[in-house]
Amino acid sequence: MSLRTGVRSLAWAAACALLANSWAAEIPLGERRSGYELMARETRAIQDDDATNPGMLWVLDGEALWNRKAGPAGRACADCHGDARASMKGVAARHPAFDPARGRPVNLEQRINACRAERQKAAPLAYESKELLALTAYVARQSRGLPIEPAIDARTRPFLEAGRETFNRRRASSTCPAPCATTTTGGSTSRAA
Amino acid sequence: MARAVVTLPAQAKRGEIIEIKTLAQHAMETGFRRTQTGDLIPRDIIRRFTCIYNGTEVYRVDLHPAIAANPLIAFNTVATESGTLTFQWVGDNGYTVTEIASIRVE
Repeated sequence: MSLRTGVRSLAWAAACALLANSWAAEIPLGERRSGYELMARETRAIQDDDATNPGMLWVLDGEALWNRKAGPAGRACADCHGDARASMKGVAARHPAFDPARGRPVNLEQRINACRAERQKAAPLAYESKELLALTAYVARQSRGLPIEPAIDARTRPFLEAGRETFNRRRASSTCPAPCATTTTGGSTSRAA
Repeated sequence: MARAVVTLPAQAKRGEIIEIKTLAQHAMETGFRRTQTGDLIPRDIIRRFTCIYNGTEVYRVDLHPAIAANPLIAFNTVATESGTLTFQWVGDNGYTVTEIASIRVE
């Protein structure tokens, strides 16, 4: 190996190490930005106005589902939880949350489906189905403006670390050469709907 | 669940220009897309939107493929008299949604 290529490969290694460092480093809390801030002015305007935000269509559907009886138990969400505007305030902002019965964290969709299966005795709603999206949007609506703060403790930390490891793992993909998150679960935003 | 939302002022002065915003829940499938196995996904879009103010058509839109899902239609009209506004969306596969709103004009 000539001196020049040696220096070049050293520089390459250093650059790689720098990059790896920046991938692994946490973004300080004060510097975290919502994807909302990257949106165009027009898109923000549409989202800010409930009269034009298409998400509100799902919130309205979710409200109807909240009050509709389902399953052999003949119970609606509202029969146990009452008015979602009071009972569901802050709930979406706390998820994913640890579920002692399952011994693992569950996200909001899984929590809704668990409630559906156990209390309403109804078949779980398909992930990404219109109904589950609507109910989730309606529940999440009640946390609007609240910071998303899932509890991080001894029970959830192993899952958090596993998630971090998966996020940073280098994997083969034609479109994704750098470590990246492939969101198959819809991901999360730092701003409640 | 076919849903539409209409937003307009509850009251206005006679002759005032008011803004009406409408949002319809619809996939607006263009008819040009194919599935992974190559089958054409049939077209399923809203074809026409109308707004009728006390029996008079004041606004109409013909919609075509390549208009985004959940079309947002905002327009202005002049508040002429108290009464009702009827909004109707008509589309493929028998899609029809009607919303009625009232306005008080002083």
